[in-house]
This record gives sequence, structure tokens and C-alpha cells, in this order.
Amino acid sequence: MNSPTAASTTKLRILIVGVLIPLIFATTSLSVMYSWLPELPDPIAVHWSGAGADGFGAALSFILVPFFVTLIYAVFVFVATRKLSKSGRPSWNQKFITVIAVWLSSMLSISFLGSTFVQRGLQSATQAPDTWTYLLLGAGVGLALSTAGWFFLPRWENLPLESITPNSVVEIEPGERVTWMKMTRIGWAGISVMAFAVAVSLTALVLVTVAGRMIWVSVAVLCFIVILVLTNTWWWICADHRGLLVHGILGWPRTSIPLSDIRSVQVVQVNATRDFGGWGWRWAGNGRSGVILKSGPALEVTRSSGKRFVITTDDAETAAGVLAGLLAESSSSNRTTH
Amino acid sequence: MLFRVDPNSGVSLFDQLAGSIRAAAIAGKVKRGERLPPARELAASLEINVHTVLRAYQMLRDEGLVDLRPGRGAIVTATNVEDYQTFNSAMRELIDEAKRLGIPPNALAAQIREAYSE
Repeated sequence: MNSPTAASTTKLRILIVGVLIPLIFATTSLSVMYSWLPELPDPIAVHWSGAGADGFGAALSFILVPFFVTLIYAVFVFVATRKLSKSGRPSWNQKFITVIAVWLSSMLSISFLGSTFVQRGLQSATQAPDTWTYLLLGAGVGLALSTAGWFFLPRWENLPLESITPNSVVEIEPGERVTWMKMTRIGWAGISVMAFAVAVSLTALVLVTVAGRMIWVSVAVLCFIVILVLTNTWWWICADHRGLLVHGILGWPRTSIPLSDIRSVQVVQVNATRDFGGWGWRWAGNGRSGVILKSGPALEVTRSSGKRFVITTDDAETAAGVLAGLLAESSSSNRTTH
Repeated sequence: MLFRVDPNSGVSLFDQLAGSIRAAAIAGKVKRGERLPPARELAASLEINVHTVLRAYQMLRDEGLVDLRPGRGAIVTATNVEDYQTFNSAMRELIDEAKRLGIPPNALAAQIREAYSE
């Protein structure tokens, strides 16, 4: 706090660690693998199990994987770190997202380099030796580099979420029943990230199941992805005399906070990647969790334990107003009965 | 969106519920294509009978404000704020005039109903 870091310094270091270095790794490994292309068998081995190579695919598409994954992740790092804290420091999430880029690029580049290196000059890819050592090497080097990157980046700072509107209270007549209910959908940024994750998993699956032996694995993973997308895309939010109830359209996941457990409500401004590291059901540290669907206004409920629950939604001020009105009503009725 | 009903007001609950949805639609607070809560959940939340909610939804469907399809729930259809601009200002004027003449809400509603069915 004593020496405020300029936002420009933070952004420059993030670009070096999260964009520049990963792209240098990916480009270098791609050019080296490309120069080996004439010596490689085609198809080449792309997946190994304990008993040697068991998945085969086209060499050119295989060597392109680290480059494209790194490139798309670098774009994500760039977008996710545009909005810093007011002091110009990155949040914990932004540092984490940034150093993952170094880890991802060195892990992919080294393991793919190793996997192609051992297949040079082979007659058939079935003779390809195991390559798990390169995978370990890549992960290890990645870990060391991302740790170094963590200390190269400025210290993190997580500021409390900014309150954006004066707290409104919906007036409730005695005996009147008031409910605020809304269905919200995850925003386009969250959808793009989900689509990217789905595309990567499907590509990996196609590569792995090229041999046709592990169809059940792809079916299982596909089902898992479909359920994940369905449960995290649409949400119902309900604020009424019972408190706050939030659930996915399939009824799960769900959470409810009884009115008696609510200490206060407010409308806050949320940046999905900076404050929560992404979309969906998130934990942000400091006792704060939430359902984060897009950057923008959100309802924040503080429980009597001090823990906070955040959900991003349009019309958050009406939701907060209803809960505030119900809280005022229940405290005044408590006063009259005692 | 906000739903409110008052069992002590003397107006039937389904009428009140339909009224609060209609008001939100006309004021542009609910957008075209927005989904209304499942009747069962809204009923539980407002502590009213599920048939009361369904009756309100059916009333709004007959008015052309809501599309009701089995399995898909109730979806708001026609709510272009502009469509209601003339209606809203005429309504404002009518109410102001009724207040000036001291006509109570029930009498005003009765007059409208009579004039409408002529």
C-alpha cells in the first residue's frame, strides 16, 4: 500500500508473463516440430497409456495444438486483466490467470516437443516409446516458471466489491406479500469460455479416440460437459419472505439463505475475472462466494456469520430492495411483539 | 420482476397478480421473451394457491401479453413500451380527472367495465 504500483507497470508485467513468454514458447516449439515434420511417421502417436502408444492422429494437426491453445489462452489473459484495482494492482485471480499461461505453454510445448522428438525416423508410430517423462518435465518447468512469474508480478490486492447504488427499500404494506423472481442467463464472455473449454475437450477426445477403443470415455465426458453447461447457464433467483433462493434450471445446484440469517443486502459492481476468476459458481476468498454470470451489477447478501453471497443479475436493486423491505418489516414486527 | 399481492385488499388475488405483471410489462420492466416463474414456485413464494397463479397467467394469455405452452412455461410476448405510450398517457389523464371529480377507484373501474362492454 505504501508504494502504489502504477497500472501501466502492472499491465506491462502481465503482458510479459501471460502473453509474450507463452507465445515465444509456443512459436518456438511449433517451428521446431514443423522442421521435424518430414522425419515423422504419419499418422503419429498422439496418446499413450501404460502399455505404449494407443492413439494416433495426423502429425500436422498434432503439432498445432500447443500453439493454438496458448494463443487463445493469451487472448483470455489479455481481456481478463484490462480492469485492475483502483491502486493499479492486480487481484489474486488476475495473477493466477496470468501465471497459468506460462505453466500451460511450457507444459504443452515441452510435452509435445518430447512426444514428436522420440518419433523422428520411426517406420510406424506403434513403435513410439513412452513419453511421460516429457509430460512431467513440462509440468515441472512450467511450475518453476509460473512461480517465478508470480513474484515478478506486483503484489496482489483484493478490494471489497464496490457498492453502486444507494440502497433502496421496497415499501411493504402490512399483510402484503412481495416476491422478486427472475431467470438470468450467463453472459457472452462466460459462454465463449465454456465454448472454448468444450472445443478443447472435444478435440482432445477425437485425438484420443481415433483408435476407436475408448468410445465410452468420450460419451461419459460429453455427458459430463452437457450437464455442466446446462446447470451453469440459466439460473432462477428468488427473493421473498423466506429469504434468498438461487438455483440452476435443472433445480441443482441450489442454495438458500433464510431471511433470519441475512444481516444486510447491497448492490455491488462485479468484474467476473478480476473479482471471481471466471464464471459459474465461484469462491473468491474472504468468505465471499457467488454465482457469477457476467460482469456488472450484482446482489450481495451478508449473512449473520459475516460470509457474503453474490449473484450477478439485471435489476439487482429491486431484488435488494425487496430483501431490505422484508428485513425492515420483520425487525419492526419483532419489536411490536416483544 | 416484482410480484405483489395483498390478501386484505378486497380485489381477487389472481387479478392483483395479473395486474402486477401487466403493469411491469406496460412499464417496460419485463422484456419480450422473458420467462415468468413456474406457477408452482411463484405460488409457494407468495403463499397462494397454484391455480390462482395459473388463472392470472391465463388471463394475461387471453389479453395477448403472455404465451402459455405446456412444458415451456409462460413467456412474455407483446411488450413494446412504445405500443403503450398513448394508452399510458390516456390512463394517467383519466385517473387525474377521476381524482379531480372525487370518483373512487372501484367506481372508475365499474364505469370502464360498463363502457367497454357496450
